[in-house]
Amino acid sequence: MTGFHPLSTPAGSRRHALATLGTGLGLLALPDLLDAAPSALSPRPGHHAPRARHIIHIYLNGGPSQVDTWDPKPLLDRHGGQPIPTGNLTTERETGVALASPFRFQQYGDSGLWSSTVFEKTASQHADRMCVIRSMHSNTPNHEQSMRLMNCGDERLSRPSYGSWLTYGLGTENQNLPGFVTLCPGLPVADFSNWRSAFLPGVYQGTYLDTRKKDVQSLISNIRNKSLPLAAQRQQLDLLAKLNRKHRETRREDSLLEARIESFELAFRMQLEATDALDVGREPKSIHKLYGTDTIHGRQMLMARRLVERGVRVVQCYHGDVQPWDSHEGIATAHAKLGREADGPIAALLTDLAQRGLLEETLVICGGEFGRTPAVEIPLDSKRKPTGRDHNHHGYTVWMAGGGIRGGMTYGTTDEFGYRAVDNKVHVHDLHATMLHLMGFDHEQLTYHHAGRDFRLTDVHGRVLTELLA
Amino acid sequence: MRLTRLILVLLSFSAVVAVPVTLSAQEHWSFQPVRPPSVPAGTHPVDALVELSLKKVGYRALGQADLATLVRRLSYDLHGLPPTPSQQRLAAAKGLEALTDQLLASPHYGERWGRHWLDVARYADTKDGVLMYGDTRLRPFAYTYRDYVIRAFNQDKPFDRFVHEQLAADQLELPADAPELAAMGYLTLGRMFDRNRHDIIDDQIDVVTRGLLGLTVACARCHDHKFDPIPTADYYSLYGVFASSEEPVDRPRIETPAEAGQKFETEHQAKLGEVSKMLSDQHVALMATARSRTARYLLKVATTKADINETSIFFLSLLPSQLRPQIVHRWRLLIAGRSKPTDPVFAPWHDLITVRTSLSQTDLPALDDLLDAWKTRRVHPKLLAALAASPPQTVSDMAAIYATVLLQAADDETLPDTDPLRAILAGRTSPPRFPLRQTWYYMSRKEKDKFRGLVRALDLLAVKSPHAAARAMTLRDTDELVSPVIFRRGDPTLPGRTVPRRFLEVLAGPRSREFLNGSGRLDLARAITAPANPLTARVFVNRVWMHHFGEPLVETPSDFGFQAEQPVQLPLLDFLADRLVQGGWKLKPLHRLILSSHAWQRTSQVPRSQPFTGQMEADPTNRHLWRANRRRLDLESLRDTLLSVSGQLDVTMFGRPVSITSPGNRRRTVYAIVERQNIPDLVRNFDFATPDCSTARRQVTTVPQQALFMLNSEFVTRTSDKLARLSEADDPDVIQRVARLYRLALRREPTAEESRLGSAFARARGWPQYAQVLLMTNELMFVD
Repeated sequence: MTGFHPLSTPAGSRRHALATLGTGLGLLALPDLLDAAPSALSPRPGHHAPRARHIIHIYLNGGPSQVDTWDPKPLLDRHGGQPIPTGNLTTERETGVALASPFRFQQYGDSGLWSSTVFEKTASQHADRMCVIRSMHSNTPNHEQSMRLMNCGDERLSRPSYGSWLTYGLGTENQNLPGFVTLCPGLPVADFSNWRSAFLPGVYQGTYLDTRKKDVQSLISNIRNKSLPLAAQRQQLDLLAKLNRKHRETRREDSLLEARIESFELAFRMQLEATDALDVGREPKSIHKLYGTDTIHGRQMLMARRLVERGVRVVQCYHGDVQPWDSHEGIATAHAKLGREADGPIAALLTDLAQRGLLEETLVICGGEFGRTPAVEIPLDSKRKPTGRDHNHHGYTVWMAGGGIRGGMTYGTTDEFGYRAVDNKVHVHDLHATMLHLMGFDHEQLTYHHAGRDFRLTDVHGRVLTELLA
Repeated sequence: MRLTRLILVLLSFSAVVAVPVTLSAQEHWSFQPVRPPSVPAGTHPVDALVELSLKKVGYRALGQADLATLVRRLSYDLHGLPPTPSQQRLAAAKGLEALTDQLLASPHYGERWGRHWLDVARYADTKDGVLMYGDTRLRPFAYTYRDYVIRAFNQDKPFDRFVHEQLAADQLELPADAPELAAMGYLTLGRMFDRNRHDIIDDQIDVVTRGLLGLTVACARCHDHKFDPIPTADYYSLYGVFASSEEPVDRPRIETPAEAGQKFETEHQAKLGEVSKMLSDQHVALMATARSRTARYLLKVATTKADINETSIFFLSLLPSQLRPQIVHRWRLLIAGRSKPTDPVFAPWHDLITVRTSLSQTDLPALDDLLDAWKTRRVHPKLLAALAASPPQTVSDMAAIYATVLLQAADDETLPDTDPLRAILAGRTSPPRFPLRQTWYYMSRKEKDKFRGLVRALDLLAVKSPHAAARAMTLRDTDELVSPVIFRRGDPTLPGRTVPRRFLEVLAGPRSREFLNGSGRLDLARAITAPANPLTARVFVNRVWMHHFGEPLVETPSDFGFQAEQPVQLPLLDFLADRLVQGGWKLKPLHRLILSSHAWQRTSQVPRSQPFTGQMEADPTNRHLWRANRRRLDLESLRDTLLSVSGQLDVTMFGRPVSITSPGNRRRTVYAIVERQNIPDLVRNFDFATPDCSTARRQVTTVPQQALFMLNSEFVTRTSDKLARLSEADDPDVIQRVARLYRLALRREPTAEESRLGSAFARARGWPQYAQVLLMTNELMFVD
């Protein structure tokens, strides 16, 4: 093929690209019209004017308990220790009687948004910015499947993550940085499949950074030459450019040659900017204090802000390795500790984004892959005391703020015990449809032709939650 | 009058413009028989056919490329490596055909062309999903499939045989330790889908139908194919074939263990014994428990709605006391099918349980004259007696009575097997029964963990024993074959009608015969390579053409369905497909034919003059084959080239894979570990085929990450050092050394200007930095 278009299928032909685009993004096949092929990451508009330009997804992986954070259930507390009269639902493990929440709830802000002490700081500072969806639900009470559903719109099949879809659709604003970055100290469950590009070109996969590493240059592979200073590389590149231009003289029709020449210049600039973006050391003391950068969670949030500030489309921040919010046991102490880790940095991020005017264009999403059962879990080991909650996909909470979202509201409800979403139910597909909408896409039209048909993030599902839009 | 009506009908249809034109299968080009065109004698058939298509559009073809260009093109085409000086000399002395013969006879050929097939086969060395408790990510014997494929290409194994072995080597009456058994990696090396069987089978259907037939049958999992003549019935016919196949725990050994491998064999046998014992113990125990809980299962069915857990989720953490969701599901299916007023066993169940308006209604009405009614309806006397003896008051009573009667009948050896009461729990379709190999799904969490630990230990042992003799990742038929049912909307909780295991209707005709040999894998393989099947040969030669030219004749190599337009070069495609089959499905003669054509040997440099600039505009993808396509080195060719030109390449063939990022790995890239989940940046950035599913054709992207690898990676830095050192000689002349570097890296002499630039740079910055610049050039990265 003579020209690569970021939106073309492997078949890659102009005709095919046009056909895809006809039903897809409505962009014309630029590569054949321009002399130089645009990069697969060149910025491009979506279907409509976006309400948000970036997404920061604070991923409380493991499954935070809705009835201990954002969805107070007085009836559950009253029934503590007794069977739940409406019965228990099937989840991953056997569950028993109602477990009253060990956390105190309170209303915050002008909107009177409810929150427990677990996210006290975030709620007390930002209640009126937040839209709490209490009626989330998904399909399966297992981490792996639910993680992938939340990230890729399917539980098991190889589908691109929403970050890959968005980078495919929008390219990246800052050519010196990846369009989609994933931050995690360690790896969440289902690890790399959470930010995979699947059948989309590999360049749209999330760039994973292990935030346990503090040395900026070890975060991105090959970002610096260990022995050559930049000045020496500049001389190499100058000679390379001369040789390549000579080579190209008799091959002018081939835009891939020019694209590769250009990619070396891009790479050279990227070496400077990418390390700068991740170097939180350049922030003033006041900012370090605000985020609490002595913890990984504070550092991650600050990195996320620096990345969106420089044009990165999607930043995911996982709370931690494997599944920290998975409180099968001792939920009272476990959730309290996790809240202490996450709450302050999240509040700081919202404050900082708002102060910089970035919150308006940044959609912040916070939640896990599912919630937890209002009923206590029966431990697998019968000698242990039941003190935790099982996975619960029937009903849970996710909140959003910023980029086009109405603040100070709750949406949807679970039943009286907080087990199952009952009113204004929101499936993960609906959340995805809404995210794409805010980023400028019709979720039914952002498609990619693969293996005989057009695929999309929301498959055949999804409803844009217009009720939540500002 | 009739005409008017017809027009009205047509008008009303045309108002709905979006209605797709439904073609009958016979009208679509790819379903029509292969019709090889006749070619004038004394002409090169490829050129004669290309000439015809050029004439049609009035295009002028470009002339032949120079010999040096062709030698380099040929070497990359057949080996994925730069030409050696001796190969350059051979071509200069004896011509391109002599070089073609030499390259085809070299084992490097299989390493290159085998890798193309591995893209189709979505080959990976690793497991995917969640690796718990320190499981090894390597599938210890995956490499045996890769090696099989390389050997098959080197031996020029006929393609039909290649297909038969990949689908059904176990049924070809090969010796028990035949290396060809490894061919079944084509079916067994896919993703694991968190052990969801439906998805694993879906992946097998996909790799077989897209990979071999160019049909996207997996699109028919939930509904009839949107475009192609593939009903869901076809999908589930194939589903039944793969559902009737399983991987044995004990993988057959396909080579004699060496002395050093004996220790492994002993330990392996011991561990295998533990796995097998636990499997059969659990199998027996779990089935017995399930049977003894018949009353609880019946009560569950009577009082709850079906739950997705019962069919699609395979790893709940179950306590020993809990019912097994899949067994609940099978009871539901059985009762749903049998609960009718006329059923000899389930008529009372129907009248008392099924007819209730609410599942939560637990009290039952009095029997009154129902007993008499059941008697007239010939309800089983033993059941009648039990119901009469203690009339059930509640749903729970009813479940208990049924359980007692069913269990007694099953245990009563005096009853004939055909007794309807006895058949429920004693028959092969008894709900508590499940196949041995699926026992893991039914275990309690503790046992599941223990069993996985044992299997993990088995794999770890193999991974950690470098001398372990190779074993094949095979399939075999299950003891009990599966009669597939259609899952409505792809949902296993919604079973529809039963379909036979058989071939696709569009290819076999409406009277497609049921497969007769076991699972039907061998029947399927034979149907795929049957001479009357118009797809297989076309699909394969199209792939071959794509790898020779960089562009296929049919733009969607794995989709020849209705969405694939008839290719401009259909006569050529048919000629090649026919030639392949007539030549006994051998590939090497086809290579020779294609490589000797003018079409393949044209220059890729397009003059900036008419008519060529116009042709470039009108036919940018070169569908009329008037020029050669310039191609960029793929990941393997790039890495192998860097190793080769710097004198580092280790040409050892076959065996266990080595990490691509390991500094000591200097082997050809085809032998590097292919990761499925955690794909190294290098691999991802250079457009490697994602092994998640069958790849029809790789992407070509240009991103700065590729440049960063060339600029900064330790691999390229080391290669530059080695190359610089290789160019050292006693002669200190700088100009001479520049020339040596050009010969090593680019296989040619430098121009005067290049010498001047090179010597100035090398003097100022040193030889390694200069060598690196040459390695980064477009000239090295692209093949004219």
